[in-house]
Amino acid sequence: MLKPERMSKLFVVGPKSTLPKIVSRLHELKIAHLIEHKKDEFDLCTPLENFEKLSSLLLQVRSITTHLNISSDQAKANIFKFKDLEKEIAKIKERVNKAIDEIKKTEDEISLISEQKKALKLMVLLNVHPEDFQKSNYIKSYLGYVDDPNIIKLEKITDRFEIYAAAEDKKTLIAVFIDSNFATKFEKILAESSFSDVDTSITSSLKGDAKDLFEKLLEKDEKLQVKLRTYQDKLKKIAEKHAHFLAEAEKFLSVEAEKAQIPLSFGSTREAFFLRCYLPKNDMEKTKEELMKSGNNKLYIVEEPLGEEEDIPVKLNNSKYIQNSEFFTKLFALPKYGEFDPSVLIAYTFPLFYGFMLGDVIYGLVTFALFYYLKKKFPVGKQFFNMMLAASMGAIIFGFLYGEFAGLELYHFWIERTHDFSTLMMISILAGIVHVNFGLILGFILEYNHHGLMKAANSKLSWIILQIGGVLFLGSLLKMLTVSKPLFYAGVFLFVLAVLMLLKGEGFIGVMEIPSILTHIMSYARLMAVGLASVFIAVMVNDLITFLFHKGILFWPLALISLLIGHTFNIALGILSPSLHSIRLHYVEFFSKFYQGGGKDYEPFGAEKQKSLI
Amino acid sequence: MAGVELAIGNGLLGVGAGLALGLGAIGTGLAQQQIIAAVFGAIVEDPKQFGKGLFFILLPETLVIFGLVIAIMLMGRM
Repeated sequence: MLKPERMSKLFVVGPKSTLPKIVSRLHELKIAHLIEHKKDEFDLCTPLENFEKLSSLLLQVRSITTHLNISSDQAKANIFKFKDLEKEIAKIKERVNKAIDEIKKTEDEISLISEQKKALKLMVLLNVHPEDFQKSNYIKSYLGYVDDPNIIKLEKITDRFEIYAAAEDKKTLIAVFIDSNFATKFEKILAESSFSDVDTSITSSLKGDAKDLFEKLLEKDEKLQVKLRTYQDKLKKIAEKHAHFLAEAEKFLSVEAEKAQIPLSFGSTREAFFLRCYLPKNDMEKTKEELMKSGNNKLYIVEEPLGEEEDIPVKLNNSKYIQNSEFFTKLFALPKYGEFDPSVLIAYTFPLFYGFMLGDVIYGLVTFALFYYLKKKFPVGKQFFNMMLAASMGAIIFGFLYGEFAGLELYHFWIERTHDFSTLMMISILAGIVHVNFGLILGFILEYNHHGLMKAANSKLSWIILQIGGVLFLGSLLKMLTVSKPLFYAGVFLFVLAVLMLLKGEGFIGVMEIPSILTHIMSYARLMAVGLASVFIAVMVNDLITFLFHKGILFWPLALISLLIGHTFNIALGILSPSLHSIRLHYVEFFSKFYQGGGKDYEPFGAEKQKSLI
Repeated sequence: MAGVELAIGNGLLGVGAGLALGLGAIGTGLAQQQIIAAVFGAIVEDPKQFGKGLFFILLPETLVIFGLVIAIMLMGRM
């Protein structure tokens, strides 16, 4: 439970004729984490022969499903015959493509018409017509907006021009026709008056009165919209009719393509293939048998020893409740193979710390209801919400111990949080001492397993000795406690011994880090601090409400508003702050004693990746 | 006069407690502003860094908590 599942490594060799069967079996078993073969004296294996056909068909199906907005996530695994599938998909593809082409064509036409309409509308305003803007060698035409038409003194250039103007919004719309000999000079003036051009080339194909043309375009536009809708409906109908089939086909094909492609991770000789994979030790014998059966006993399967430096994939092995706290473990980093899996510890201490900090029956009930709702609404975050539900339970239990109900202390049972600061602090620090030393013991065991007793004692046990020595020696030096002379000297001895051990075990850095043990333990004072902040905000809100309540009935609505806003705010803080601080105590103070993480996830071939928040 | 001295002493203890907490909070804020900016940069590049980022963001919060501990210890002497 405290360690990830034990793994084994298998080496499988077989004739290439058995390859398809072995791949299928592996995919069904969903147990083997395959190790990719790197090309050495042995080449990579080639994909199964149908790979190209499968992947090209898969590509076609995916393009159709993207167009039709069909998702294959929920599709059932179905088995199809490749030939039938190919035919059916070709048929659907033709229909879909036809509809899509028509839609695109219609959409293009509609957008052209809308541009034309815009230009025509302007021409109607100026009482000019599309034909006026036809390209000519003698006359140049302009349509567009200027800020101030008075700047344009055309008379100074020539008298061979015509100008139409109309005010629109803050700008002025102008149309100018001018002898093309003077065009260059005129364009200079236009540039100075920040002329913005309207494209008239799109209407150059139109002939006739601008107003009539505009009406005609409106009609045409309506017809096109109807046409567009018909084709969109058609596409929708195709989607509805074939959604089921397409989703299943996509799923089937992607699984088959995955299978056909996987031999690329195997090694091969001329006649044989070989593969290596990790799998849980418990499943090894059964898997061996299954594979032998699928390979008609023509396989050679052997277990290879696990190397010390190998990057072995990690499969966490926890009971149902503790699986929830794997979320927090993974959020930090997956443990390495051989490391402790801290999930089981977080599963109990996270709610404990959270409860100790929030410690309020009403707040706990509210957060419980909230996270229950969120869990139903967003199943992706189930693990996290389950942990928060456990944490809310912790808050309710501590709430009863403190006798706190939304900041009101209804009865006095254990600690009165608004007064017994020092008791709270003592408990917090005590929790710190236990938690930190527990982490050190775990670190000691880990070091002992990997590097032997001396290294473990020097780098982990030394910290525990340091604490005992420090308390006796520094504690009495600072007059925080009184001890007898021999005990004091024992303290000095232990302290010096621990420093020397650290110097040996962790080097100079270790000695530099000595104060950190104190700060790490003191850091648990946040268990008290965060809780106090929450209580005092609640008390203040309650005081305000009582004050308003006694002021008279006119102030009662105000009291109600302060009640809602104040406590909602405090609950929001009460979710954020205790959970962050509780998890931080694990990540910073606890993990640093024994945990590194950085393991590789166990991803067995054939298993679907689970969706999660991280 | 003893009463006056006691009052001044208590007042100074109060000021000390306030300074311990307030300066601790400022320290935490100064440290966090830079860490948070850096962490968000990292998360945008790789969302998997969220956990580690949170770890670093929360590191300096210890300062303000130590401030509070000192403040409570001072208040206890009043």
